[in-house]
This record gives sequence, structure tokens and C-alpha cells, in this order.
Amino acid sequence: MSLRFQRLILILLTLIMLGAALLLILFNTKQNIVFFYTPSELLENNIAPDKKLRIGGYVKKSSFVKKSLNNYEFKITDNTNDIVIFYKGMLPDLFREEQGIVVEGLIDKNNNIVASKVYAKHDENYMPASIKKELEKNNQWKKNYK
Amino acid sequence: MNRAVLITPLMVLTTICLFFLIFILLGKNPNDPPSALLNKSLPIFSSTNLYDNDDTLLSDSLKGNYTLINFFASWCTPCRAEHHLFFKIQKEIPELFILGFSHKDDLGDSKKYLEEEGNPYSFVGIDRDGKIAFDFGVFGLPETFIINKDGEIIFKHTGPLTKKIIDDEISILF
Amino acid sequence: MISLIGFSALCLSSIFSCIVLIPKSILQIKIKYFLFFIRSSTFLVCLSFLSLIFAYVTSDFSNFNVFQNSHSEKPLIYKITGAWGNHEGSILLWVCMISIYGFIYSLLSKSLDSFKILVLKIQSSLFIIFCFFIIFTSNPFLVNSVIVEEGLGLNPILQDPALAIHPPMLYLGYVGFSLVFSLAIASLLKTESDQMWVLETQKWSIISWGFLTAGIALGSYWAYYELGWGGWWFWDPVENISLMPWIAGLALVHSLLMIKGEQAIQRWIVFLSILCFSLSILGTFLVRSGILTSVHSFAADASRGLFILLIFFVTTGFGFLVFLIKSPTKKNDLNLLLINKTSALIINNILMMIAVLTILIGTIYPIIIEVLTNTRISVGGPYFNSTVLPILLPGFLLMSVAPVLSWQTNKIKKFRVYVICFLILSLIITIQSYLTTFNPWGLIGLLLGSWIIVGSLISVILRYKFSFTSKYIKSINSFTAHIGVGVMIIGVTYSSVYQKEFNFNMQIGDEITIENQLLKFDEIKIVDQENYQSLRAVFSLINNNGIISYIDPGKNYYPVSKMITTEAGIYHAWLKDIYITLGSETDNQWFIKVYINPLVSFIWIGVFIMIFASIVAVIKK
Repeated sequence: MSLRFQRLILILLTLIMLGAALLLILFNTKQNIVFFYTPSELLENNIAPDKKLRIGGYVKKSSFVKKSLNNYEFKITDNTNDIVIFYKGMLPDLFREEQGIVVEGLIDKNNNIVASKVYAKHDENYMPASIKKELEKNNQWKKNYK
Repeated sequence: MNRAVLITPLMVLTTICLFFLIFILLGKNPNDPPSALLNKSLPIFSSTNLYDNDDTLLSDSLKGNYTLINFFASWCTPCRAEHHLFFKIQKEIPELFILGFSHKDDLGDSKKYLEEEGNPYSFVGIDRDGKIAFDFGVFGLPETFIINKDGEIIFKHTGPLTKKIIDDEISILF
Repeated sequence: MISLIGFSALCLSSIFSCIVLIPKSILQIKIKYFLFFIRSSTFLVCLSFLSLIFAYVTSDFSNFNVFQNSHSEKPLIYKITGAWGNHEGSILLWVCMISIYGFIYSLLSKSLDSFKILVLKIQSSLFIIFCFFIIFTSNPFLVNSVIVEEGLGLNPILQDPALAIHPPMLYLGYVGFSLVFSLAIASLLKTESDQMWVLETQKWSIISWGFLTAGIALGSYWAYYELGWGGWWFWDPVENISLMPWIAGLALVHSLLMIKGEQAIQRWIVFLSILCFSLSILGTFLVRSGILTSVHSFAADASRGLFILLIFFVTTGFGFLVFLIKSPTKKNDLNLLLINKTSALIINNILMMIAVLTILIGTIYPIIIEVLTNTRISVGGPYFNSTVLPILLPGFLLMSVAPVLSWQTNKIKKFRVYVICFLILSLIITIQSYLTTFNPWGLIGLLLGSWIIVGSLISVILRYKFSFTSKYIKSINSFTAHIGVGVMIIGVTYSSVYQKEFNFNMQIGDEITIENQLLKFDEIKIVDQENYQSLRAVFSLINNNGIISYIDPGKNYYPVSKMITTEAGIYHAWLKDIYITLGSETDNQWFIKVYINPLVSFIWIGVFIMIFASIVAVIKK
């Protein structure tokens, strides 16, 4: 076999593999992509029900209801609009009210979300312990201004 | 043909970098929801005027005005560094009521400090035991808050202010 | 004070490196002094890093970095690791390693002096660029402008032994590629026709690749037992980013093997070397700039992001530009013949490059889409599973036949033995998987994995006479590595395809039966530890012969940061892990998730074998 012919085959092989990879990528980017919205964007966009999406925002204050063990309902807010979330399963350790979270799930007809996953965002700034202790002593823990 | 293949990595690199550049310049962050941490109302306090023992200021009386609250002390070196900037704020935003708290400080020292550096504050309150600072959640000096007309905290900064912060974050509030 | 020492040492060290760069025409430096400057620069930057660690150990909160990331109540070990648990410190560690790699190279290299100087000059330029990055945008020695007595603590989820050594390992890998990069660029710029650099690149790329493997494995082991999600790989952007230079490094290590067939394809090697390092910087850039959010990312900072983007563009652009202009012109006399080792390696290389490309596209796709259409999307695990895996499959197939092929000729060695063994093996496996739960992916994975293992084993047995000498271990080394991969493939396939998940609500004293074993909920224990409070649910695992083991999943409460972390309870056995996470509690009912992860241990064994093989490959002949 001449070197020229070998090279041709090699190039052809590369192109075939590259083509196959591109097809896979295109197919999968259509199938496996999840859109991300804030509550306001979600309401603006009028999304068809039963679509998988992610929504990010804060857990609204005093909206958290524990319906039974591992069955929760809460609202997620961006300070202008709220979205109701239903979730069955384990909540992350960092989950609490007024904490930034991201929820993945399906949207239903009433623009509520049936969540399949809840991710809590890490809070990177903490208060020093000494002050925290004092605050707790005086029942003023809630009064932390970030 | 050969040259074209060799140029490809450079071109791919440039395209990728260009996208990143636009992305950074637009200041986007794919997972960051808007902040919900501000807009809480200020704690209730009452404080005596440093220069007049009979004059007290109540937190309620701050409502209706934009107020800047700054915690300082004569022993705090970074406070000196930011001090002159309050004159700048005073000049630029005359409607702002600038309230200073002398935090865990000897009263004589505080007075001396304000004599040396000048007094930009509309009112200097005494926070001898640090109780007011405590209610505000202050954990280090200097610390600055801005309160809107409804008595809600709309800005908070720990550490000395800089010109940049004033221009970028404070001025736009007004 | 200590901050001042650290900062001055850092500045002085970058100045020393600058002196090294002065061109010969202006200042002639003798090689003795040249090396002196390089080495003292290394000592100084190490001093700088040590002083940062010292500031952490003594909880010197007048240092802003320490104030933000440490706390006086933390145990000593996490005070030390806190030094690189944050952006500034980790970049200082990175810079320190660039310098150390240069230092070790200057000690070990046997190249001509002129080439050595060229490599060290490029290495020093990289060092200086990153030093500037530290000094101007992320200085860990900033003085705290707020007077405080206590620090802000460290994220408790990061207070973990595996995670403490994970970043340094990963960085040793990433940064190792900087030396490979320097070697490649120097080989393009050099005037002599000395081929020593290929051997040196071989050594250093294996070292970097080995460290990277260890780093990634530690990271995923951490994710396995700390995140409590039952899995060990989540296609998180940060994981993808470390995987890209890993695959590129693998391609590099393999193409360097082609010298064995005396067909060094220099151009390709140089290209891969540049690519490895640029993917490493890209990884750092994407994580540190906060563009990709994940567990590991630090706060976003636009100016920082711009600076790293600039570094990325300049170094990579410079690399590829030199590659474009001075590309090796030596005619490569590739003799493919189509059915020999060289062509198998080339096809494998192409596959690896395509895999890197698909991961890259998946990772930066959200950014491109957001810039173009302003909608936010996320590309999750399913995308990567269904694009990367099909691409890797033919690669694994090639791996299993690779030992059969020869370097120079078209002849296939001992063809019949292999075919018979493969057929018998396939038959057994197919029957076995039909009799148990059939799953096409499970079958494919098991087939490929066992083919690779058996193919390598047969070659070892047929070709080399067994002896307990280092020479023997050395000569079967590449087969050892492949056996590691095979073991890992089986582990990966089984643990993902045949994973089982159960949910229970249990009270203390309750018993459940899982796969012929009894799981009994004994008690709840609350223990105060040094810097946290731990709550543990104790389960006993019982079979016919009595209690096998206790499993204690639970939660840790960190009072300093007011955070709770989940600690999975894992029962490790050779064939399966029983993995339990503890959920919330209502009326004494605890929610419990139990995963049965078969053959997870195979993954770690496979990784160990691979790392062992790379250590053997590096050790002197």
C-alpha cells in the first residue's frame, strides 16, 4: 500500500468518526439539555407542561410545609414572583428558608413544579462563631444582616 | 492543506476565548439568582449624642430619610483610611443623613479623633458597649450601612469604603 | 509580619525568574549562575507558600486570606489544608509547583545545556505570568482592613482528608503538563537535532498523568462518600474539566510509545503537549472565574476571570503559534500497514481527541448558548453518558486486540490462542448475563473489560518468562496498566448499570431484608467531636452467620459555620458496597436510602493498578 493511500484511509476514518461524534452531539444536545429559569422568567415564557427544567431562586420565607416524611411543599422566589414546588425525597443539608437553591423537575399546568432534584447552594460567608453564639443567646440569631 | 490544519487549533482557541470574553463582559452567571438578602428593616436602638448627653437619637426617627450609618473607633486604623471619603459622600449626596457610631471607644479619644480627622457626621452616637453594633450584626470595624426612607437596609459594606465602592455601589442608589 | 515575608519572597522570586529571561545578547549568564537563580527562585516561592501555611497555623487574622478562610477552633490539619482550600492560596500552590517542576528538571535532565536553558526559560516565563496573576489579582498576603479576633471558617464540606490532599494531587498533574509544554516549545525552538526531549517528555508526561489520575480518583472517592448521592461520578463541570487533560495526557503517553516502533511522530506529540497544558489552564480558568458553578467553585470575580482568560489565551496562543511557524518538518515515514500497533495507536489517539472534543463542547455549550441566545441551559449527565461512552467503546475494543498486534509487521502473533480464548470468554459471559439480569450496556462493558484483561494476561504469559525481578515487572508494565483499565471498566459498568436503590422509613429496632441480608436499625448515637457534633444511626448487617458489620450513616453539625453535612455509611466488600444515607426524621421515623453498588471496589483497584503502572514506568530503567 502506498503512503498516500494509507493517509487517505486515515483521513477518511477520522472524518467518519468525527461525523459520528457530531451526530451524537447534535442528537444529544437536543435531548439532554435542561433549561434554566428564574421564577419571573418562567412565568414570562409560558412553558408547555411536562417539560424538564431547572429553576433557581431563594426559598421563600415561611413557605416551607412538610406534608409528611420526605414530602415537602415550598415556594421559590426571586423577590418578584413565586413558584410552588412539590418535592418528594431527601432535602440537601444546606436547605433552609431564604437559602439560594436550584430545583430540577417537571412543570405542570398550573406553573407549579414537581421537583426531582433539589440542589442547595453553598453559602460561602459565615459569621464568626463568637458573635453567633451571643446572637443565639439573646434569641437574635434571625437578625443577621448579610 | 497542511498549513490549514496547523492553523485550526489557533482558530478554535480564538473562538472559544471570544465567547468567554463576551460572557465575562456581560457579567453573566448561569446559576445565580438575584439577591434576597437585603431589604430587612433596621434594628431598634437609641443612642446618646457624643457631644450632648441630653440629646438621644431613636431608630424610628431615621425613617423618612436616607441614612448612612458608619461604625468607627479611634483605635481602628482602617477607619482613618476611609474617613475622608465621608466628606466626599456628604458633598455628593447632601440629602443623606450621615450617622456615626463611636464603637467600644473612650469618649475623649473619639472626640480627639474627630478633631484630628474632621467630623463628617450629622450625628455621632455613642455605642460604648457595642450593643448597637451587635444588633446590626457588625463583626469588624469599619462597617457601613445605608438605610432607605422605609428604614430598610439597602447597602452594607464591611471594611473601609473606597472611591470605587462609592461611585459604583452607593451613588447609584440615589 | 509573616505576610510581609511571604509577599516579599514571592516578589523576589519572580524578579529572580525575570533575570533568568534576559537574552544572551544583553547579559551573558554562566550556566552555574543561571541555575543558581532558577533554584533560589524556587526556594523563595516555597518560602512564600510556607509562610502562608504558617499564617494559617497560627491563625494570624491580620492576613485577610486567613481571616476569610480559617477559624481558630479548627483542627490543625484543616488549618494547614485551608491554605490551599481557597482561590488565592491554591494559585500560590500552583505557582509553587511550576517552580518546583522546573527545579527538579534542572537537577535530573541529561539534555544538552543549551536545550536545558531553553526549557527552564520557558518554564520561568510561565512562572512569572502566574506570579503576576497572584500579585495583581489574587494576593493571599493582603492585610486585613477590618480588625477582628476570629476568622470566618472554612466550608465544612471541604473539611475532609480526601479533599485536603485532592487539590495538591490534581495540581501536581495539571502543573506537570507545564513542564511538558515547556519541553515541547523548546523542542520547536531548538537548533540542535538532539532527540533527548522525546524521552524526557515521556517521563514527565507519565508523572503528570499519574498524579492527575490520583487526583481525579481522590476527588471522585470524596464525592462517593461525602455527597451522599450514591454515585462517584456526576459529570459535574469540574469533573469534566479534569477529565479533558487526563484523556489528552493519555493520548500523549500513548503517542510517545510510538518511538518504540521508531516512528516518532513529532508534530503530533508537540501538538498534544501544548493541548494538555492548555486544557489544564482552561480548567483552572473555568473553575476559578466562577463561570461554571459547582461544589468546588469559588466566588465569581470578573477581573480575575479576565486575567486568567488572558493567560490562557497568551500561553496557548503562543504555543500554537510557535507550532504553526516552526512545526517539525521532518518527513514522518509512517508505515501504517493498517493492522499493526502504530495504526491502532493512531486510531485510539483520534478517538481520544474526539472524546475530549465532545466533553469540551458539552462543558462550554451553556456558555455559548447564553451568549448567543440569552437563555440559560445546563448540560447534565445524560448528555455525556450518551455521547462520550459510544465514542470510547471502539477505543476499548482496540485496546483488547492491541496486545495481538506487532509494531513492524502486519503479522498477528499467536492469533489462534487469542481467538479461542476470546470466544470461550464471550460465551461464558453472555450465558452468565442471560441467566442473571440482562442489560445490553452491562454485557458490553463486561465483555470489553474482560477481553482487555484476558488479552493482556495471555500476552504476558506467552511472551515473558515469569520471574520476580524488577526487569520483569518493567517489561509487562503496559499490560499491567491495561489490566487496570479492564478492571476499572468492569467496576464502572457494574456499579452504574446494576446499582439498586431502596427507600425505607425506619424506627429504632426495625429490621429490613435486602438481598438475603438483614439490616437492623440499632440506635442513634450523638457524639461531640473536636470541631463538630456527629449524629450516627447505627445499623447492623446480619446474614446467616451472624453480624457481618456495622454501618453508621449520619450527619455532622458544624457549630462554627452552622452547617450540617451528610455522611454516608458504607460497608465495603469486594463484590458490593452497601451504601446508606440518613434523611430527616418525623415522629421517630427516619428516612433511609440504601444503595447497593456492585463492584465499586473494582474501580479503585483499577485506579491503583494504573497508578502503580505509571510509577513503574517512571522509575529508572
